[in-house]
Amino acid sequence: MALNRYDFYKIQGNQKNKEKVQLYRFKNDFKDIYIVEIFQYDFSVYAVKFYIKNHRYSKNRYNICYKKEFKIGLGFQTGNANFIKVLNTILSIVVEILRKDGLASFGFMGAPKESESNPEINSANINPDCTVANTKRYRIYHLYIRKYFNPIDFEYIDSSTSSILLLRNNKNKEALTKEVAENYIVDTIIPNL
Amino acid sequence: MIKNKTIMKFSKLHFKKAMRASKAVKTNGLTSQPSSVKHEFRVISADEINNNRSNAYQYLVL
Repeated sequence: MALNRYDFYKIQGNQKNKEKVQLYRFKNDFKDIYIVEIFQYDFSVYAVKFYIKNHRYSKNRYNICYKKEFKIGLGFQTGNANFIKVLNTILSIVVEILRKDGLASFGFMGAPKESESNPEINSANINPDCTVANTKRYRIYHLYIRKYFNPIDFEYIDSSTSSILLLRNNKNKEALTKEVAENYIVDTIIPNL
Repeated sequence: MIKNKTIMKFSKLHFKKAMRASKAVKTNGLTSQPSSVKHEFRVISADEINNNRSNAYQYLVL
């Protein structure tokens, strides 16, 4: 399957965190560099996060979107093509991890947009643990993932209240049961977001 | 004057260290706190995935 994607490569990053996080980078059509962080947890659970390198010191780096004026200024009507290529690139990285670790399960969290994490606009969906329910990114990732991950190989454990989708690898279903996965998300992954 | 310079140097160094630390530590920018939020989880069945599909599947061959 040939995906229309950006070329990516693995980078070293901070050696202290080398065991916990793997880093990849790629450059998009807007000439921005993306950093992809792959966090590894117990039970071969991997959490995938990415952001634009220019935003790396921002506390909102996972939330920031391109402004419309910026895209138009570069001669693009929308950022849709870029977005699909970014998702395809992330998917290719996920496939690379799956080839290395056959038991790998993946967690995707749809980070809220800046407007979605603003209590004045979206207070109804913001939880006390700072997760945001049913974010736009979560809904899009959901649709995208359904296209590529066969439900026979992966169980879709879904939490719209925290905008998290866990693809549980069925080869690892004895160790990572639904209950274990739920507790793990609540007790370990969410507090470390 | 010397004292002020020393303080400035120290604060610059401290700032740099803090910046480096912020590079190393992963955060989502959200200061999540343990709380009694009850998140709902459900397993989405294969039928539901197939019925609500918006576009043709291209399942990964692993």
